[in-house]
Amino acid sequence: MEVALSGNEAIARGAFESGVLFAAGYPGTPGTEILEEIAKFADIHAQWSPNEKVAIDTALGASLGGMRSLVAMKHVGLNVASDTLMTVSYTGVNAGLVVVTADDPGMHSSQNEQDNRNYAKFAKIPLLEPSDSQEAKDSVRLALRISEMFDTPVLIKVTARIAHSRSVVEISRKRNALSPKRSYTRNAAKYVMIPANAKKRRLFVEKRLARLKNFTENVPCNKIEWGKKNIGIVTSGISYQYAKEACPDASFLKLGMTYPLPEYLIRRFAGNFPFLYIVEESDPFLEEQIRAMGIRVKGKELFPSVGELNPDLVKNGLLNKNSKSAISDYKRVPARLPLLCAGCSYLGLFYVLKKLNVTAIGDIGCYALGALHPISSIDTCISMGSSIGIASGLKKALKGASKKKIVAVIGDSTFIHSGITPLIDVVYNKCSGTIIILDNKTTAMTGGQNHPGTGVTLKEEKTAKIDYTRLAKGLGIKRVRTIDCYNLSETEKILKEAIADSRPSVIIAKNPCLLISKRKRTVPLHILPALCVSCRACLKLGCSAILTKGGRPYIDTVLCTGCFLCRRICPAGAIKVKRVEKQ
Amino acid sequence: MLKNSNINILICGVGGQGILLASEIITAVFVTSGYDVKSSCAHGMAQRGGPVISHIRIGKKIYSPVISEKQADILIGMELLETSRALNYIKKNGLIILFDRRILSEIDTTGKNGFAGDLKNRIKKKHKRVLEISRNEMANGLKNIKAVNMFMLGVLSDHFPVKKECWSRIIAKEVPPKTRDLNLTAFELGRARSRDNKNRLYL
Repeated sequence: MEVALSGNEAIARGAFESGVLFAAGYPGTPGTEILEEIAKFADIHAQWSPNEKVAIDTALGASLGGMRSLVAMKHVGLNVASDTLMTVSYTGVNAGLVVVTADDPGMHSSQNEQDNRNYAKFAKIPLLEPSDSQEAKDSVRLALRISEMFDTPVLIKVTARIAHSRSVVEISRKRNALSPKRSYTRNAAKYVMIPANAKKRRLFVEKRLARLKNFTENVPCNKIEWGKKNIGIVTSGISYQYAKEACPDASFLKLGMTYPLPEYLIRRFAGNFPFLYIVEESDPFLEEQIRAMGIRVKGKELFPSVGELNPDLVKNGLLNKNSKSAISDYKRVPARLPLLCAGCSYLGLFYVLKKLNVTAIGDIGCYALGALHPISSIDTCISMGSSIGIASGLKKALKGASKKKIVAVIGDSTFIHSGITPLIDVVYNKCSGTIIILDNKTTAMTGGQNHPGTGVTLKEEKTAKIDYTRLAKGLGIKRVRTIDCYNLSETEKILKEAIADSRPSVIIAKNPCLLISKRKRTVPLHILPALCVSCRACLKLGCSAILTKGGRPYIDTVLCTGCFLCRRICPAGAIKVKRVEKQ
Repeated sequence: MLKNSNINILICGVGGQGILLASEIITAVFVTSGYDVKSSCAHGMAQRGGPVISHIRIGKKIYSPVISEKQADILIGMELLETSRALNYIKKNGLIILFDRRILSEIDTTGKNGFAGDLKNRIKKKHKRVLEISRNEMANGLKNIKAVNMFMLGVLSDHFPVKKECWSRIIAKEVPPKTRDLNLTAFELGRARSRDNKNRLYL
């Protein structure tokens, strides 16, 4: 049966059809839906992990126990999981183990655009790059086959354009069973990576790579599509589709398996042309390796390495034209930036932080939007859990030099992901910081996924819930308080006390995310023009329901959640509940 | 025309307007009708009010899921600012189905936001074939502005040789059961709206 699936749905379907029984991951755009879709198959054990390192560890365990396993994460997530990945390359696997990385060139919703193909070369493991949904589905099956044939984890790289594009996929109801059965047996020489064993496995990795080089020469996803013999293009992933669109008559070497590279196939193809065009997004990953083979290539001098490619950029590159896209360069129209939701409790917190004139060190999550105008309250946003460490380092460096107090602001899911270890550091190294945990009871920025603090699993089953207060106290934090961010005076009082304390403190903001709480909408507010003195104090709150017309603020009653934050800060008392006339 | 060349449809607007659902429905309709279809949606931080742009490409064999510059046959503009941003995609004689709505986003403490009038005129000046759907038109027929995505689908559907029943069946399947009737009514109204329109494209 033919259906239209997104790349993420296709990977989930591929996992189902090729007999994956265990899947784990941590949410992150553009790869979040892979696990969400896999979870819909009743007999696959699917789970959200606290972070990507735990995800790959549990998937490895499941593989050792004889279950085909898949682990999915966004590109920066693989940095967290890489510690295990680098050594699983040595140990190999039992049942097949597939690692899916969803990269984000163009940074639609990420802090960097690292090209994770480099991890395949770094870890010396095979890499597959699907170029549409059908190939995304097929790549899971191929990856599992390679994994079990060569005793290796296999990396599949998709990008946002593959993950979030829909295209036609042939699906089947049949599932591949694992055969022969791979039961768990102790094998210390293979899995205990003490130096004596690791040295032997290190040699195995080189032998495996040599065997993989033979395999990749004949794998069907690496293929030549002969066209006109004047242009030869080597390409992979979504770039193949763009190049095909830009120059359909050219000859193509389409690479579906891009590490290790099929050197003889590339040489055979290159023999027909004075030089090869290498069309690839992000890093010159193929280009550098093919150039090192002594083959003449043109690549990054024609096609940008920054941002996404598109058919126009590829066409301009092939024609050697100035590769500036008018579409991405459409500057006259003002940008539309993402905002905190109208009535979000974080608005109250940021209002108080600004009033107290503290330096707020941020983290990965919605609250990073607190860096934008007019809130302008967050100073840094680097990586998951980094706020606490940065705040304590900054504090030590600025001791006495700055009168401003420093606080770390971190979301609940991010805190669980990577915030607990740095909190231990704060206690251990006698730091006096204040850490604010924004417990909105969901992973909000990625669309509201459960995590260990919500008490519900990926499969919607009830489970134990983390108690942040007891956790912080158990680690040795003496001052732990909870706040309601809609109560501005209380929030201010508690924060003031915490900041003044010479001991480290943890403040837990307990308001749930508006998008998950499904709280009944209260009556919207409105600004009475007669009372409004146009002081614009309410606009400084940064609530997206407060707009202006002719310089005077008004409230969009459709967006207003009736949270009363603006009413509490209006000095003129001009903001009132809007009475709805009964009909 | 559809038999021989590709059709490119672009939908643009703001997170929360149902653009993703609309493009999933269009994709499903044409896959069911036997075409090769690719669609691509950029929606990274759309849940936080960011811009959403969805590309849908239909034909015999489609490679790129994104539309090239000046190659869109139809642009469905759900919001004026985002429509202005996407104008470079539309073909010279392409059709813009424009919903006359400005969704403000910039919190502007200087008080200089909101230029809906200018935007609409700019779009119309730059482009001849604009089918404008006013907010009143929507509100009168539907009493619910949320189904504007299905209204726009209705307008769009009238330009293709695909049976109405095929559209209705897939809409009924894809939308939440509670909102099925509302969505189907919106679709019907949109389809009727397109009937007496001189800008009609015959694809």
